[in-house]
Amino acid sequence: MDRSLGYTLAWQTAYVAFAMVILLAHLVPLETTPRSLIAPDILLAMTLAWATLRPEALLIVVVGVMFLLADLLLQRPPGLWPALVIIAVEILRARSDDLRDAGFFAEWAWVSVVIVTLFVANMILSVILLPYELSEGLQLLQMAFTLLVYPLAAGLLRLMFGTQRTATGTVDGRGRPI
Amino acid sequence: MAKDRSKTEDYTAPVRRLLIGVLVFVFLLIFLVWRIDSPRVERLRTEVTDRLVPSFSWAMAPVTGLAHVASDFRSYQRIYDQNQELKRELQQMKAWKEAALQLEQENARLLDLNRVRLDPKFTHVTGVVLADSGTPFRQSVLLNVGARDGIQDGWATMDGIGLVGRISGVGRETSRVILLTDAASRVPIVVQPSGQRALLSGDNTARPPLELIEDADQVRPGDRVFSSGDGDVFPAGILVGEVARGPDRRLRVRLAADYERLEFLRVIRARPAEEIRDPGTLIEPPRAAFGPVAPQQPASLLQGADADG
Repeated sequence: MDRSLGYTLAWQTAYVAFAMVILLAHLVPLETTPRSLIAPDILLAMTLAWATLRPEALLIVVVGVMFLLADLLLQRPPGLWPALVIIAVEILRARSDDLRDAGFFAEWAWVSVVIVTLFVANMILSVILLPYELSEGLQLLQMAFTLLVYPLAAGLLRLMFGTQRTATGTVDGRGRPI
Repeated sequence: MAKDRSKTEDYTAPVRRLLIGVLVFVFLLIFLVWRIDSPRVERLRTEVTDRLVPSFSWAMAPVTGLAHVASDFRSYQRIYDQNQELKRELQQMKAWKEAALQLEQENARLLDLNRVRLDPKFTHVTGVVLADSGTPFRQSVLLNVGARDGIQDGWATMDGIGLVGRISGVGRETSRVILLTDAASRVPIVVQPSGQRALLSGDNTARPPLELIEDADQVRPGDRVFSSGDGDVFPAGILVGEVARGPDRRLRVRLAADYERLEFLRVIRARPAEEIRDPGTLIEPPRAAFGPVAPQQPASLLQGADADG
């Protein structure tokens, strides 16, 4: 069989499974009173870490579909956040080689810039486009928590993928370099 | 090899960029459609939730259960304080019980005098909370009853004690309850004993404020708040909570329903509001309360109305 296809399929399944677990954890009916705390956007942290670490094992369409599903399930306005996230993933994917060579702190710094840009863009667009207001304080808090949770997500993925980086010159089933 | 690699990238990059562009466009289009024609996309949302969440309840139920056990365990640690508090409350309750018994007798006498028949159509469907909104920006819960059980949009939902919210979004097996605390929730209420009408408007805090009060001076902290039934949104007379003064000096409502633990909710079946379509065959009720009676009406009709009242 095509090794590339199996490889991609396996990791997409893993990604979807992760995303579903995160979504269901959000949905467990424990927070029925208004809270002043907010959970970090773990799905975002994991997706960005994934895009940085193993961009070849992540299909952009799957990312888009999972974020749209998250929008639908979590009562968010559908479409805006997935569009922004896809652009962010693309930016990180393009730099993934350099980021992996630069060491973890440089990677974290880069991803932080991307996350902050994402949240700020989303906040500005929300203020302009949404019919209702979202609490800016909570959104900023969520941004901060997401920045902090990124190293955990990245660490977990490194454990999962193994620390061994894809060697230069490795080719996949169709002879394309990975 | 490096040359090979760049060649491949040159080949795939434009295709990739096109794919990204198309994806971003599609998502923004979805957002635009949602912004313009929200009900349609919200129905899609309800549909997706309806398909997904019930099928995952096997995974969520144990987690919910465990978390409740944990919170129960935490509450054991405060058991002494609670005991003291309960004793104090019991003392107060004894006094209240006396008052309640007297009031009950008085109420029974008055009802008897008025020959009031309480509405027999007041029935309910009980549902279990499957999921919350999943984000602190919105306050809603998902129930495991839906169109299959005859649930309709707009029906009132309460726990055993007080009003919780209204149904908004009905799937086949699930329905979403917008809680009173949600920023989009507006419920007409009446404050007793002063009888002041106002609007309870959620603002994403635990104690939603009262708005559009007729005369705020007549409303005091501690007054009871009920649904007023104005605008045929809810049946009248469901307990909502009691008035409290917030730290910002606004009049807010301490909700009677136990929002910490929403597990089983009652959906109140609302009667469709009766409409008078055909004035020819139906004698309308007297309009005396709204102004002078029109002189053109036949005398027999007026007499009939007077005899009724």
